[in-house]
Amino acid sequence: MINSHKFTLAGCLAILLWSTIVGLIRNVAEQLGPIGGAAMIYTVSSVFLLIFLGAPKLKSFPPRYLLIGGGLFVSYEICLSLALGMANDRTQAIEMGVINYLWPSLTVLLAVFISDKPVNKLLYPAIALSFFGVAWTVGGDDGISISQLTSNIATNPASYSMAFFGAFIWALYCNITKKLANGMNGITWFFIGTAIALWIKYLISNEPTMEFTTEATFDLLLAGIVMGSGYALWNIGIIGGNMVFLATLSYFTPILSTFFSAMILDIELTTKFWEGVVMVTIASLICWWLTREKSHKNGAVNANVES
Amino acid sequence: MRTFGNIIWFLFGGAIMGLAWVLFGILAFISIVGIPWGRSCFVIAGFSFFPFGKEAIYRDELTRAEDIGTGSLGFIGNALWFIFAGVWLALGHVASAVACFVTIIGIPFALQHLKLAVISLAPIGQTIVDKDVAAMARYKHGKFKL
Repeated sequence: MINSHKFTLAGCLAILLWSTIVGLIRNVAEQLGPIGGAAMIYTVSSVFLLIFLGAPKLKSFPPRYLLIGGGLFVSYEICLSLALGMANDRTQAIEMGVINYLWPSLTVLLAVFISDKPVNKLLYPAIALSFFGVAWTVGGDDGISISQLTSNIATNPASYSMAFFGAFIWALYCNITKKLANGMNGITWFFIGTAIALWIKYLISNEPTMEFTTEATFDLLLAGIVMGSGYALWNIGIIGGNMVFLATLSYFTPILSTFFSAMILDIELTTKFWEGVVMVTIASLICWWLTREKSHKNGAVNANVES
Repeated sequence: MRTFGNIIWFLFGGAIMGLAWVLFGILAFISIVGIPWGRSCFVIAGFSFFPFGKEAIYRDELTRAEDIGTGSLGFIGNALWFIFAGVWLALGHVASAVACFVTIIGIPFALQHLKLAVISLAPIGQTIVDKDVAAMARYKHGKFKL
């Protein structure tokens, strides 16, 4: 029992660590640049994961898992980190984080399409609610206004697109990698792949040389270690933790993430913003609730590290 | 959000660290020779009590004019401060930061403690303003990033 609590605690800590990552990535991006900062964070995380989780031999992985799963993972991480880093300001960066949390609902939607099994009709309004919540958040103080939404997105279409496609990519990743993985976990290699891809992007981009101040270096190490620890602790949590509890908690990540990001970045968020975040969270919880018998062991963050 | 952060901060360690700054300020005033440092202590005590939404900025960055605290006298003042008070206050903030980091939910507070630790090392010449004011001053002087 005590051991089970230890595993559950590890899972809870992982969820809390992930919740801080939006703020920490943005913090580093502001000091080292969106691409260079992300490349550095994933490099630090890769080293951390190599030390604490190790990297199984590449030959032991199914090639399709490495190619498809790895490709989707790398694409998602690049989309998310660049969307956060390239956001016009800190509030917009947190908006990107909220858009990213469309993925739990999208995962359920994709699973429905793929499985072709009958589902509760309430699922569709729940998914619509998650999109409505995002629109509510991005719409600003006016709530849902198409013109306001369009003008907000027009200020930074690249970031909004990356955040949005990132959510779709991750939903796809969650649905297909479990079948391809064959019980293997290639997270360390995927992190290394993400770091390499970001370094290549950095080298071909016009981003200025990174300036490593003491603060930037500290924030970088913190972000890298937090990200790596999150994955490492989740790996421990899923071994023997209470997965129903962890899954339920993980669906509150949008609220936790927005809260921690606002605190780390020291910004004020409007009531409308919070309303949108709550809508996204409720929508994810409803989606999970309606499909829990089939997937109650898949928390919102479980798919981050397919066990 | 900032108000909430400030309340939580104050209750969980901020009050103690703020009082430490007030104590060093009082000691500085009592010593008479330490009066120039005392003023800085009280300014930073306010920041230490409620840091969210505020930022430390060098006065010359804010006003574009050098004064006694931002010039060479300020440098000497900071060197003396570092030896007699700064290092101890900084250690206090670093210890608080470590305690906050361990809890994970305290990471945002740990980052504030580290900012305060840096300020503790050389507070003379710095002042505390709203974040927006600091950002505007840096923007005007071409030091604003992103």
